[in-house]
Amino acid sequence: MQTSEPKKTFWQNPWRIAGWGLIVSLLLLPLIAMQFTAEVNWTGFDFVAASILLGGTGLLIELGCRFNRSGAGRAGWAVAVLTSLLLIWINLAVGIIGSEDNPANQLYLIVLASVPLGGLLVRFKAKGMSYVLLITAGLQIAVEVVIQVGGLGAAPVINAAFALLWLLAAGLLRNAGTILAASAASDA
Amino acid sequence: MTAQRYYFADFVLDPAQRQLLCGSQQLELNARYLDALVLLVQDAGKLISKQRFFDEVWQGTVVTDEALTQCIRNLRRQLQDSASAPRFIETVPKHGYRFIAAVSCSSPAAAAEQSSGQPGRRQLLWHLTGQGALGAAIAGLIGGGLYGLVGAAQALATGSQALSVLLVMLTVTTLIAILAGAAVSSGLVLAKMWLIKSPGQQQKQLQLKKLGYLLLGGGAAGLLIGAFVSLLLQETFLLFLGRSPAHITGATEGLIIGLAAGISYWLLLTARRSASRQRFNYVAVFQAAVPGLLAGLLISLGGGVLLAGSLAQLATEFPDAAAAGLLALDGFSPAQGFSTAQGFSISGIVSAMLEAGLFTTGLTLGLTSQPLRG
Repeated sequence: MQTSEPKKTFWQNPWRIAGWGLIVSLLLLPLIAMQFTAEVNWTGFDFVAASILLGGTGLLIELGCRFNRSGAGRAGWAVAVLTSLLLIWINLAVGIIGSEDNPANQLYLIVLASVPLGGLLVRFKAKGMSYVLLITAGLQIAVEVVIQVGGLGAAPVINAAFALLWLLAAGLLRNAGTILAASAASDA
Repeated sequence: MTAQRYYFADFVLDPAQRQLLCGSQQLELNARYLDALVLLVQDAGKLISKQRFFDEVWQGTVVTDEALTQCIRNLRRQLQDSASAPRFIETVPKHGYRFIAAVSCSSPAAAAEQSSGQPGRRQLLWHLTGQGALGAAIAGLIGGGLYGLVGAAQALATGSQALSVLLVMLTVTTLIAILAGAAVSSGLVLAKMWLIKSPGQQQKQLQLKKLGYLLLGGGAAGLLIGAFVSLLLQETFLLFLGRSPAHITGATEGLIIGLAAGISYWLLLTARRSASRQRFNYVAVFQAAVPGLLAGLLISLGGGVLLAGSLAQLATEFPDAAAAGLLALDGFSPAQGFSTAQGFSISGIVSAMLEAGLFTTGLTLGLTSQPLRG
């Protein structure tokens, strides 16, 4: 859209306020809770790890929005970043296949790596990214096939859920058209 | 903006050919009114002052305000818009007018899509699905964060365990929220698109019909995704804890929340838009949240459970499970906690209302988020 009027300032975008506000409160809440109960007891390492994971996700989404001005494109990018984060989290916390020590969980590293590596290959362009994410979804399903065939375990619904998320992101990026994001005029 | 054509709802505005089309039908507009519409659409989302209309449309010819009012009235009639509940042209009292519908511009890619007979519908569907899914994702992160902290506080956990409880809760809720958000949004948007294809006559009838379609779309999507979420939770419990409780959330709960999302969306779509968008719109948040809160209440009174309820069931059915302590949210159990005579727990009801309310609010506010006003 034409911007003949003064641009909105950085923080006048509601999505941005919601996102970063959420990240800050997720980090502040345990800190506050620790003052009142001994049962919440985060170590310095916990805070650093959580800050890196959450802050990194926020930064990656910001970055994607800078290059993508269409609504679907931004949503697709955000879903891809969030899905990567969820896959990392669930592996850090418990591991999908057996316990978190089960080496088969390292198969998910391939799934995760395909996103940034494929992204570099297509220079993070929306159309190209949509094909990369289709491959990522395929890899997610392939992990399920491998663990089933190899007798390492089975998690068909969880892997299907992740595959659906990758497909959703791919579909959104594939259809990143000309409809601008709700806040496209306000930033970048 | 260099685009030659503008698309909004079912209309196509082509300034170069000086045409306004609705579907394939050309609408009658005199030259001045067309200029006024082009001016509005080109700067969609921005306030166009009366003076700008006089300068650019009437080009300095001295006319009264009445001429402009007449022009807008005519445009609204052609667009089947109403002054009190505008879909396209919003009055900014004493100052001017603003075009409030989403406008897309043609590009070579979009033009190819136009020629295939479906003007931008697929794009709009994905656009709105994305918005709804993201809104729901934010709601899911908020809810997951809250539950994660409650769970962590109850887990008597060491530092690293507290983090892992928070992470699992965040992951599960966000994953469910994004998938359910995408499914319900696309259901609602498809239903809305389907409706526009069949022309309605009376405004009131049209609104009721729209509600019916939205309920159908939201309900169907909710039912499907509810069933999927049920499978997902069962598998998660089985994998991480070795067993799954008999009574967890499922298709019925999904159906009710999908219906609630349909009502929220309908309320937001038909609501009279407030002129000032700078302030936080409390009314919209209220309209978005109430059907969800009621759905949560209905579900828990009917004996259904959502996420926290499912987790509480787990702790209730397998109190011995060491791992259940990890996800212990006993307070949320319908059977435990502060039970009333009927066996309902206040915290069970509150948690169900919180989940359903957050979900519909995030989803519908995402779906209806408009370009920011300049």
